[in-house]
Amino acid sequence: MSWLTHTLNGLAYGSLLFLVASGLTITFGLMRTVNLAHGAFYLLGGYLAYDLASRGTDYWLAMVIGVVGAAVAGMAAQRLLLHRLTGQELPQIVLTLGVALVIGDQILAHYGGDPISPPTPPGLTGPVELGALVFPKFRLVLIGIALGLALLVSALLRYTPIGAKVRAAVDDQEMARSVGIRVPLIFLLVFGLGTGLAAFAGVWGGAFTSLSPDSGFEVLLLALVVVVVGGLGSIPGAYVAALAVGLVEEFGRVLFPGWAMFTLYASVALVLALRPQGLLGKAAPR
Amino acid sequence: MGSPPSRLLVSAVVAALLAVAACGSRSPSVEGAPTAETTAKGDKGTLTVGLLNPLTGPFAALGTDVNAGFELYLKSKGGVLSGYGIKVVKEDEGTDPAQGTTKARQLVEQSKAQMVVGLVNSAIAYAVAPYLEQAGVPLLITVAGADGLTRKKGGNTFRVSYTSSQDVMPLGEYTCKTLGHKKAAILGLDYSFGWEAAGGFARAYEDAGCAVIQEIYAPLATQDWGPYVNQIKKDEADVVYVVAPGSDGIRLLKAYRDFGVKLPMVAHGSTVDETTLPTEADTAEGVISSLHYTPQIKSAANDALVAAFTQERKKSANQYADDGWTAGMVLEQALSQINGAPTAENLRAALAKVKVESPRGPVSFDAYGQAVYNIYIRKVEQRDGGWVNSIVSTIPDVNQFFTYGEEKYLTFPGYDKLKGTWAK
Repeated sequence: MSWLTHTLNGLAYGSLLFLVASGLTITFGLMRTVNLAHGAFYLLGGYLAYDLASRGTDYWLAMVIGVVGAAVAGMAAQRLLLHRLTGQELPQIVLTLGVALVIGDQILAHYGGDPISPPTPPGLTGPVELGALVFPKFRLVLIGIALGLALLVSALLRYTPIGAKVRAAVDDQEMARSVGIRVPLIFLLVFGLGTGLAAFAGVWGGAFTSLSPDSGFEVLLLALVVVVVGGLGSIPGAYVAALAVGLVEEFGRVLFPGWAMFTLYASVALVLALRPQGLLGKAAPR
Repeated sequence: MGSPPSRLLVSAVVAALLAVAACGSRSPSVEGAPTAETTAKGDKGTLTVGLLNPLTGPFAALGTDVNAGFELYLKSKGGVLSGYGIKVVKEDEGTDPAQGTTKARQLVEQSKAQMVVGLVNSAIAYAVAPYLEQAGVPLLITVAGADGLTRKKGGNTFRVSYTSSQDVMPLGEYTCKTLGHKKAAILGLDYSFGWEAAGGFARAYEDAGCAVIQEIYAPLATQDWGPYVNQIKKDEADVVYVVAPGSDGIRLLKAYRDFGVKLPMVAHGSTVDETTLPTEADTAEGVISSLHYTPQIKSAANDALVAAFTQERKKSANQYADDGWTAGMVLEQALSQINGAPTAENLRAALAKVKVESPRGPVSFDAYGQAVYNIYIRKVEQRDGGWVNSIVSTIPDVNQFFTYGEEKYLTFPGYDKLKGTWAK
C-alpha cells in the first residue's frame, strides 16, 4: 500500500508543478518571452489571497482577487515594460529579473520575511481514508485540477478561434498583423493568462508548500525544468514532464535519500541529452 | 520568422539559470546600508558595536529580529549601557560567507567596532570567528548554533544562543523518562544543524534507556515532505522527534497532519518557535518541544522584552528577539565590571564573568564562552485565539555538555559521524 501512496503523492506533487509551469509554458514557451518574474507573480497571487483570507474575506473570493490582481499586474508589466523588448532575450532576462526583485522587496517590506501559508481550500483539509490508504484530500483534488487545467488550456489553444490567433501571432507576427489580428492585444491577454495561472498556482501551491519572499526563485527553477523538459510551448508536454518530475522526485527521495538533490537534475540531463527539444516539443527546423 | 527554440533562446535559459543561481541568496532587502545614527553621550565615552546579521536572503527575518531585540534593549536604556554611549553599526552578512567576512573586516577596519554581535549562519560564524580573534575584537554570537564554535577555553568567542544539541538533550531524557515513549523515529534536516540537533536528542534519549528505531533526513528547503512522512514506521514507533526550523517546519507539520500520522510529536524548539507558529497553527497543536525561551515566561525582564518587541515589530517576541536583547544585557553588565578602558582584553575578561537575569532567566558563560541557561519543555496550545508555547517543565542551568560533563562529552565523536548510527 505504501507504493500506492508514494505514487499518488508523486502525481500530486507533479500536479502542483504543472500548475506552476502551465503559466510559464505559455509566456515563455509559447510567447518566447523569457519570464524570470514568473515566480514573483506566483508569490504575488499567494500573498494577496493570504492577506485577504486572514482578514476574514471568503476563501474563494480571496482566491479570485489574488489571481485577477496578479494577472492585472502581469499585464501592466507586459504593456509598460516587456512589450518594448519583443524578441530580445537578454534584455528580457534582466528586465524580468528586476521585476521579480522589486516584487520580492515589496512583499518583504509589507509582510516581513517569516514564511506564511495561504489557507487550504475549505473542505479539503485532512486525509481521506480508503481502507489502508490514508491520503490528503487536498492533494487528491490537486491531481484532478491539474488534469482539468491541462485539458482546458490545450483545448483553448488548439480548437478555439482565439487559440488559432495566438498561435498565428506567435508563429509569424508580421503575417498575423497583415490579416488583421491585433497582435499586441493578443500578447497582452496571453501574458495575463500566464501570470494569472502563476498566481493560481501560488494560492494553491502556497497552501501545499508555504511561501516566503525568496521562495519565488525556487519555484521558478522547477517550472523552468518542467517547461524545458516538456518541450517549449507544449501544454501536454508540460503536463507529462511535471508528472514525471513529481514521480522522479518522490521515488528518488524514498529509494535514494542520499541523492535527493541529484536524481531530478540527473534525469533532466538524461532527457535533454536524448531529446534536446523536450518530450513533446517540436524539433527545430534547420 | 517562426521561432522554434533557437540557440539564442537556449543560451538565454542558461543565462537565466545562472542569474537565478547567483540571486538565490540575494533576495529582498529592507535595510541594506549601515545606519548612521546619533549616539547618546555616555559619562565614560563611546563604545562602537558592530551588529552583523543577515538582512537579506533566507534568514533575513531572523537577523532583523535579533537586531530589533538588541536595539530595543539599548533604547530602553536611553542608548547608554553602564556609562558608555553605544554606537551601533549595522552590516548585512547576507547568508554568504564571502560577504560575511568582508563585512566583518569592514566593521573592524573602517567602522572601528570594538565588539561584534550577531551571526545567524554557522558557516559564516566559522569564517568570521578566527578573523575577529586575530583582529582582537570580541565576538558575541546571537544565533549560529554549530557545536564546534564554543569548544575553545578562554577564547575570543562568546555565544548567548544555543549550541545545536544543547536545548534538546533534556528533551531526549524527558521524552523517555517522563513521557514514557520508548521507541522514537527521528525526522530531521540533512545538514550540520540537523545532525547535531538530532544527535543531541538521540544520545540523551538512548542513555535514558529508550531506543531510536528510525532516522530519516531530508535536504534543506524540501518542498514536499510527503515522501518522508510516509516512511515513518507508524506501527513500531511510539513518538516522532522532528528538527526542521523555518518554512521546512511548516511544510513538515502540514504533511504530517495531512497524511493522518497519529503518533505524538516532540521537536527541537526552533521547529515550532514563534516565527512559524502563527502559520503552523493547528497543525502544531500538542507538539512538545524544548528551547531556552518562550514568550510565556513570567518575569519582569521578559515582560519588558515582550512589550517592547510586540509594539515595535507587530508580532510575537521569539528566541531571536531574546538573543538580541540578552546580548545587550550581557554587554551592559560586562561594561559595568571593567575598570579602565574597554579594551578587547578587558571586555573578554568581563564577559566571562557575566551573570544576568535575562528574559529567559539566569544566563552565564562556561569556560568555553557558551551560555548556560534554563531549558523550557513547552507544549503548543491555543490561547486567546492565538497559538503559544506554554511551559510544561523547567530544567535549570543546562550547559552545552548536559549531564555528561565536559571531559567525557569532548571525547564523543562528532554528530556528523554519528548520523545514521542511532537507529539500531
